[in-house]
Amino acid sequence: MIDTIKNLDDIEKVRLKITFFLIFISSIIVFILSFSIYLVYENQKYVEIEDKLKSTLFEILPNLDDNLKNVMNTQLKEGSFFCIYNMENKKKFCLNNLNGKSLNFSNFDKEKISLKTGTNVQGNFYILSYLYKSQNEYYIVIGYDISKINQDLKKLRNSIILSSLAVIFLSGFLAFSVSGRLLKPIKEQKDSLEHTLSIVSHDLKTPISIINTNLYLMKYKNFQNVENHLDQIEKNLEYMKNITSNIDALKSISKEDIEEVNIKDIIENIINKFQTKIKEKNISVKINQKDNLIVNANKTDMEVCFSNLIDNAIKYNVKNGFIKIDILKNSVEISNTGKKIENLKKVFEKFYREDKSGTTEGLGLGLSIVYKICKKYGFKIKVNTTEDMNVFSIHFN
Amino acid sequence: MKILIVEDNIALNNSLKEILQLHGHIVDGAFDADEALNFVENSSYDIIVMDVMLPDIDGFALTKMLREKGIKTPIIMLTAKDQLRDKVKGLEIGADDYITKPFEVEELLARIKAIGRRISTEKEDLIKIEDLEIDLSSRIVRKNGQLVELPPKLFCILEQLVRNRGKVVTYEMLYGKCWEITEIPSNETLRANIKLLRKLIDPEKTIIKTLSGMGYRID
Repeated sequence: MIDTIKNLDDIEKVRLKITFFLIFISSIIVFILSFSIYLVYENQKYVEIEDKLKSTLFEILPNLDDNLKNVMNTQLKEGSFFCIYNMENKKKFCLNNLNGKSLNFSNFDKEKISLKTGTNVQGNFYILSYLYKSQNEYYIVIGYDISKINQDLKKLRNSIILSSLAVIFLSGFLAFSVSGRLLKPIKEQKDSLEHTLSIVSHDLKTPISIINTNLYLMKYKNFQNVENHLDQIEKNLEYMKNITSNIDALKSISKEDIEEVNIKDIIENIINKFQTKIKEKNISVKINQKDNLIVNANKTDMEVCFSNLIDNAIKYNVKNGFIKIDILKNSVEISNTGKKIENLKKVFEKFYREDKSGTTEGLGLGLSIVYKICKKYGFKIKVNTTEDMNVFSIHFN
Repeated sequence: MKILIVEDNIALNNSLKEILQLHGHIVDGAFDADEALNFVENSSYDIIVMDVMLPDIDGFALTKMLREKGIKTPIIMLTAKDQLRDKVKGLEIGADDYITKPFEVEELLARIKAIGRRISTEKEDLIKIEDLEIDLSSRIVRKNGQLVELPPKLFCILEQLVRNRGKVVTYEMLYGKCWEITEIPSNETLRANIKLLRKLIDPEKTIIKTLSGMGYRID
């Protein structure tokens, strides 16, 4: 159990702490409330009994000296009794209605009885004791059987405990589920950040290894004939630079410096930048421009946006493949002959990669950045597949 | 030693191949699991250096397949996956060693050497046979105290004979260990290489014994 708690992540631990804290608070509130209810009920019952006993007492008192017959005929409620001790003649008279009405007379030893007055509970009886002086001195004890009331109180106590436990359990459940919902966005953000870090770290390891091995070879060769190794180092440094700029672009995309951007110029510059990659795969690129397309946007945003789209079209293209870029009046379509995209809904999600092995370089961030940029400007980006092409299109408003 | 590198990144595969060749190993490079399986089934490697993330099936599955086929060639996993669970998984599946990227080349070479010692019948790196002194670790050969420069293939043949000292090293073993998979060896080329090796280290023909029709042996 302790090990399981230790293995929980920070968010889960916070969730548990919130849950236990709310259970603790609700337990205190429920305890105070239910204890108060119980005490009020119990007190009310005893007050009622005391009233009954007092009314019996007041019925008896006027007749004590003169009319014992009236006392004998006193209407006793079922489950009650009274005893009158005459302190002068040491005679005792008791009347009870416990199991049917009965009365008896007897003598008593004055020394053996304590003349305590007031109310108290003795066994199953609530007792009212009273010392009365008139012509004679009387000690009167009136009792009422409270076993039924005790049973009622026990039932009340049990139901209060059960309902309190239910309330505590329910509050715990609510606290756990509500805290889970409240913490969900924080957990997602934390997971996403950890995922970003692990992917960045993973994707940096291969280029670092390549740079390492090429540096080793350069040293081994005493820096003779090292052009090829320098090329490799340069290429991998460029790749690492791309990783960091994509991470930066994901972090914040500038909103200022809006200007008129010629999309064709941007696309042609990017194609030039990617010439080596294009030649490596022997991909042919065709740009069709039907209209002059000028867009009001930040130039860097557009560069990052089309750079990612074109880079994607190269990376996921087949050898000897084809990239077609159509620049229309109000939109751009970039089609490539890459492997047909399987999950069109997920391509714009952060870190989603069609290539699960990670063989194709990249973080799976490019298209999510493109989507973010388009969303910022209100451009509509779509992806669809034809029989042999993947087509990305951006509609500018 | 003959080493197979299974790494889908062309640049890393090539640079590793070059490093290992410079250290006198015979090296083949496979870029996916399918190619690696093909190489392993058609050649004889002393060590396989394997990446985990491959385009077709991953390195863990490939290692499992190789072990299921009864191929016991030591495997060094070389991967960016640095989680403890990945290392445990790799070693439990049948890898012999696990190195995480980015790695130091010296460390990889040292681990290859260690595995080489483990699989060799000779546990020492420095071996003396009559007036011949062979340092398998630094790949230096001396005859009567004089340094002898051996090309990688000749050193490989000598290494196979020394590592299997007292046992017959067949022609097939030598083809498998000292020729790259793309080279097509013949008995003539092997004989020519042995002749050249004898000329350099054993002109009296007392060290390398010929077992006619079978192979060679060093006692």
